[in-house]
Amino acid sequence: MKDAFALFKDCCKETVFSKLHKAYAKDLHDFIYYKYGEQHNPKDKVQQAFLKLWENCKDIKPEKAKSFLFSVANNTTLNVIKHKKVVLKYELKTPKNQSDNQDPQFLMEEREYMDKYQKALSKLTKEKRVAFLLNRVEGKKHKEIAEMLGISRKAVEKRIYTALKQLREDIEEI
Amino acid sequence: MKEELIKKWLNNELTPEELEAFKKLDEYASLVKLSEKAKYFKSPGFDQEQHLEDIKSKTLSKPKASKYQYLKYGGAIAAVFLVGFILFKSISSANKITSIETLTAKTETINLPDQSKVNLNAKSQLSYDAEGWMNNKQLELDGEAYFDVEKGSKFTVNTPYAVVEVLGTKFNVKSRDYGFEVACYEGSVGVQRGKKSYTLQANNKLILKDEGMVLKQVHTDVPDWKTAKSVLKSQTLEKVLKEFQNYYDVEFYTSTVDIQRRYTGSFPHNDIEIALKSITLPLGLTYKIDDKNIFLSKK
Repeated sequence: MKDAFALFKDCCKETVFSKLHKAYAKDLHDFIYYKYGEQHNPKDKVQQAFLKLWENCKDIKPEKAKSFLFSVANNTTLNVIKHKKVVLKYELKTPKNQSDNQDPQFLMEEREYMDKYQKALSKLTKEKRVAFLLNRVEGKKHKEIAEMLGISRKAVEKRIYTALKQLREDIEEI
Repeated sequence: MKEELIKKWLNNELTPEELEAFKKLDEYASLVKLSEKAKYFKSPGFDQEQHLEDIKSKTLSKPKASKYQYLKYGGAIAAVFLVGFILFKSISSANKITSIETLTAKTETINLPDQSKVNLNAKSQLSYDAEGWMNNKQLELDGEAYFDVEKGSKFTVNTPYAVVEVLGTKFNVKSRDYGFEVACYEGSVGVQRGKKSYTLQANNKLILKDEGMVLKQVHTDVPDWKTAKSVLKSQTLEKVLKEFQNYYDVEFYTSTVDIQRRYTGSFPHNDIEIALKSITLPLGLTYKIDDKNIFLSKK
């Protein structure tokens, strides 16, 4: 990506802008969602960040756009946040082919597990939660997350690992 | 050791042997359950294209074409619509851009409004202004395509690396995030990168190397991908595997091999076993296929 953008000196060309959106909008949305939850409307935050990028397109080189977008979206969310607990929604889908798993006992246990999971996730720090979910749910590699968050690969590895450890201890009450 | 295994598992870096060891851990079942159930917390859907349209409607809208133009170029538009029905196609409401995108291992043939033909290679995207083609003969290419241009027709291909100008000719443009090259098979093309311009004659190609363009000869009549193979000369294994993923929908695991090693050779696009052997044998490597995951290791 970096190489491909190198020819353009700013982000004012529509094709460059569209490409940047295609490359980063979804990641940015997931980043805000997993970090701050739904009440801060991640889609609006992403839109605001891209509008800011367009307003300032002359001053921003395409290879710098990613860190610009992530810090704008992060800062505008921080400005409104009131340190509320972040509770992420889950959707329980029981796979159809496992009909023997449908009994009420199993469903109850499943729901109990997920409720504990939800609480455990909200107890994690924002930084750990976002790294963990980007890795486990969105399948992002440590290196990609490091680039998104602007921290080292080692730091990402540590955040994900300790998040996993804490979740496990919390849910299974070890 | 245990912590290392778990960390590697979290980054999909386990070798088949390590995976066995990981499965023997006491916490294996509980970790896998945690990981599986995490997916229930997936973020709500995000429609990237719709989101971009919303932003564009706020910022980038352009004046629309007059009714007169609609009549004049109706034929051209109809032709483009005919082509579009089998393809992934989106026309943005702001300025009627036709965009065709191919997935892994798929290719497409597109007829431009002036009867020029474009063969779009796998994992590539081509867009152009179908409605205003006569005034704006510009194509945007991301990926690789072969152009067979009608005599006397002139247009421009824009890529992130360079601008390619053509006048009745046959040529191939490859613009991937891991490399750029233009090959000319008939006539001539002009290539402009930054402030530098080049004129490329038939049977020659330009390759981007360390920020400069290098001129090489072409020995075939059509690009290699048109005969369903990739030919690579002294490329890093990293680039070879990226090229491979244009034609096969797989993930590579390379933690135990040196991906900066150079490879010279070719592989076919229609037989994954032969393709993998063509790459691994000369480098003294072996591979293991597990569904869509391919583990590379030293022999």
